[in-house]
Amino acid sequence: MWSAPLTVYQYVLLVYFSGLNLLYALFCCVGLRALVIVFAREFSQGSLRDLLERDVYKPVSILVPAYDEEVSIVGSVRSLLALQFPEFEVIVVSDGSTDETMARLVDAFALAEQPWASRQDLPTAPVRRTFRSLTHPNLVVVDKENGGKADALNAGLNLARYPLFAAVDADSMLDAEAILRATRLFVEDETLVAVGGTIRPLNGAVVRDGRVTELAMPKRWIERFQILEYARAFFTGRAGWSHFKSLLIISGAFGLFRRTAVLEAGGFLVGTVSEDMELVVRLHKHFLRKGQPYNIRFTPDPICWTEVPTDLKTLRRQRNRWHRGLCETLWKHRDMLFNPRYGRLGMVAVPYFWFFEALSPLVEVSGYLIVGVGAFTGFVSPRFAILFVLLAVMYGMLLSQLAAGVETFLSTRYPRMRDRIVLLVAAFIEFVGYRQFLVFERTLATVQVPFKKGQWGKMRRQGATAIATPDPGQAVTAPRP
Amino acid sequence: MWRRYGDAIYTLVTFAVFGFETLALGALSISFLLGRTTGIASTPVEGVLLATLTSTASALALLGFFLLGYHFTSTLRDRWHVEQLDAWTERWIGLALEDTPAEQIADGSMPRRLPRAAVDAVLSLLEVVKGEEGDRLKAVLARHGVDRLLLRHLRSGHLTARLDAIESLGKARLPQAFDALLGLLEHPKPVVRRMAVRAAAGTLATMTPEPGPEGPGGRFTAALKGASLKSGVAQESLLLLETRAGAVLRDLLAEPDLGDRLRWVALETTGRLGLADMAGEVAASTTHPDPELRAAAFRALHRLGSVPEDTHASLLDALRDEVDFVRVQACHAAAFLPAEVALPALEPGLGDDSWWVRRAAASSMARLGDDGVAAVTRAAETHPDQAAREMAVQILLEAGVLDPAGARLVKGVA
Repeated sequence: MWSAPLTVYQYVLLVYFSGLNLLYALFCCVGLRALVIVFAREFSQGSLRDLLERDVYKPVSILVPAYDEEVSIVGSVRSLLALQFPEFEVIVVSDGSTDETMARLVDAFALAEQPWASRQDLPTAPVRRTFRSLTHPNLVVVDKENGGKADALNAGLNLARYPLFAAVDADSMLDAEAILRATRLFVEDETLVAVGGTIRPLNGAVVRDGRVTELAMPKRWIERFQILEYARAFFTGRAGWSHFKSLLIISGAFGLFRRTAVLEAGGFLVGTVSEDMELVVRLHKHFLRKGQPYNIRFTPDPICWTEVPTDLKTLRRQRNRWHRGLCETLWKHRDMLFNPRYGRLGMVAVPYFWFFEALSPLVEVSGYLIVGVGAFTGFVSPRFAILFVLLAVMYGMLLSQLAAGVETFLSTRYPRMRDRIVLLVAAFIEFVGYRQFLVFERTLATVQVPFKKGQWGKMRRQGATAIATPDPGQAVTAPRP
Repeated sequence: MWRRYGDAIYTLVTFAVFGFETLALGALSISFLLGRTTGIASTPVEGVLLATLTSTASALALLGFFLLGYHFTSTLRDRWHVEQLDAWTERWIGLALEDTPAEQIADGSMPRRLPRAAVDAVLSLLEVVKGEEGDRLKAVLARHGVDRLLLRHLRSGHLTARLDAIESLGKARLPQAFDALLGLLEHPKPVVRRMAVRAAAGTLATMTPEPGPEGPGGRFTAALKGASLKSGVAQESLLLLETRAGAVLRDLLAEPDLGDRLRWVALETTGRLGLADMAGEVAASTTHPDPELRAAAFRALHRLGSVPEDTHASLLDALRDEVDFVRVQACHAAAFLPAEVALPALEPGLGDDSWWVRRAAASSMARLGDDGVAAVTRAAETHPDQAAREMAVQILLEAGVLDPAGARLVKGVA
């Protein structure tokens, strides 16, 4: 009785599996060609120097939302203030922090409270006090009541003076030239409204004076697996979607936006755990509805470093949050699904995210069940089942290697041959336990979406850089890759 | 940021992997579909699955070996290249500083075909070395046929080779490549146009000026007008012209039929370059029907730091323009009017609906000497609009007239 439906479902699974893998491989090809090869040449050091010397850049407001970041906030702000960019302001928004975040900032940067004539472009939780640094005139700190990350970003936006703003997590570290490289794209394209950069795991790296000076493979396998995950997400997925002008996610850890465009779209949405993706989807929607030309891009060059979870508990919470955020955003904008009004976004990108991202844990779990039960009952030959699982593992490895391969072309790469071999091995081991663990958590998150709307959950801090410099950037609230 | 060698091979490898996967998964899906009637565990399906597995394993092995091999060789190559670069840079510096005319430089010890490190080293030097020393290096490059090689690569069918050649010519600034670079402004690929216009502008900046439409400046202007370039790119190229920019900008602004986009670019660039003697040409756009151009003209006048007398009336009108960003730029430019004219005209701006206009008005007033500071201080204490009072205090704080403690004591703001 079950034989026919099971056969059909198996066929669906195979098509799903084939489609997903081919899409990833295609993204890797186009991403590599469109981004790396062209970027390496167009954005040479000379062209960046020209940008600075000829005064063509656009000034940037860097918004840093912070909640209980006493451990890392001073280091992060120092590293931002040391960026190689001629005109920028850093606006730190303490979102009702209950620890010593504000006190540390006041001491470290000689903050003086002063009245502030800010705009009220976006409604936010009340701002208690505004400070300006007496030692760094381009540093402004806002102390406001707790309203969540999106609310803090909106408060920062109300104060931002410059045409572009970067949203940067308080526990992340930017490459010295990150802002410069990202702003170049805005000079070249006036329709550009947002740019996302590459996020790379900081774990195991040597950090000096707020800068990554050397990379080394972290000790724990859980961190190594995440290196592969980030490489896959940024060097294949984002690059590919960006090439097809359908990028739906810009990581909350580092994105550069045109201020007026974000204000026009209504700012960051409060009450979601995925304010980064939600904003990008809303920007697409806003400009497509208006029929106004626009562009949202990923660029591999501006690199932001972040420390990824080092224990399973934190990783679980993080992935649970990410997956709920994805589902929340897709559900909120469900009118875009297969809606030709939104072009390739509505017909390809949004369906992809529904079927290959949001629902993928359910499909994967059912796949494991069918292959297992089928092999057990004799409906599928055990030999077939083993071969199929092996094939799935190999495809996963192939994608990991394709993505990790892009990383070898970066000048800041894992320098030791041993590390490269470890990455090869990690790509294999990842599929034995780690992947299933995450699939289980994401399945759980899919079920929890209606009950845990907007809940972030607590993240534990570890600190996993190789050399503890004064401010290694220790948080583990790593952004979505 | 990126290693530039091996990427083309890697692209081929990824395409090969993609090909492997497409064929294997396609075959698997079809055989699965065909085998549906007879049961999926039938031998043909398993056979195809096994073949798919084998091809995937081969792809994985190919990729793995490539990556390990690339990692190993690139580490060695990087080290060797840095050593070679240092050695060649020293050699080139020696040649540049020799006290002999360019055509008599003794470079007999150099190989006939210069190695890549030698070319890279001299191109990096040419980015910073100009004048007579630069000309000597260019002469040696030409003698070794590097210019011809780069020009040949400029016509290459491979995008990477073409982009590399454009970048090298942009560094070398060889006059003989100028027209070839201008020709690329019509290329269908935007990235080629962008890089070519930057390289051409940099080259023009070092060429001997020749007046008239047939001169290099005239040819550049004509190419720019015909090219499909984004405003930011056109602006950057004009800024790269350095001392040659004035003539090109004057030509552009004098053109009555110039498109609005390029006129906007010309106004912005004139302002950024601070070409004060062009205030008259800029002022002509302050009454343009397009608000973007009016705003650009006022922004340029603000940057030039002067407002021609015959523009005072249009500037005062613009302070009441219906478009807020025009009012903002007019407020900024008004800082260069005589205080007795500007202050009464700017004061209403403090109560403007737009935060940006309030800020621009207060900031310009504060720049108008003691009378301006006094007017802003008065506004901070007595202006009927709280938003105006707050803005006045903020500007006084930023100007250092008030300190944070004092600001909190200002009536009506604390």
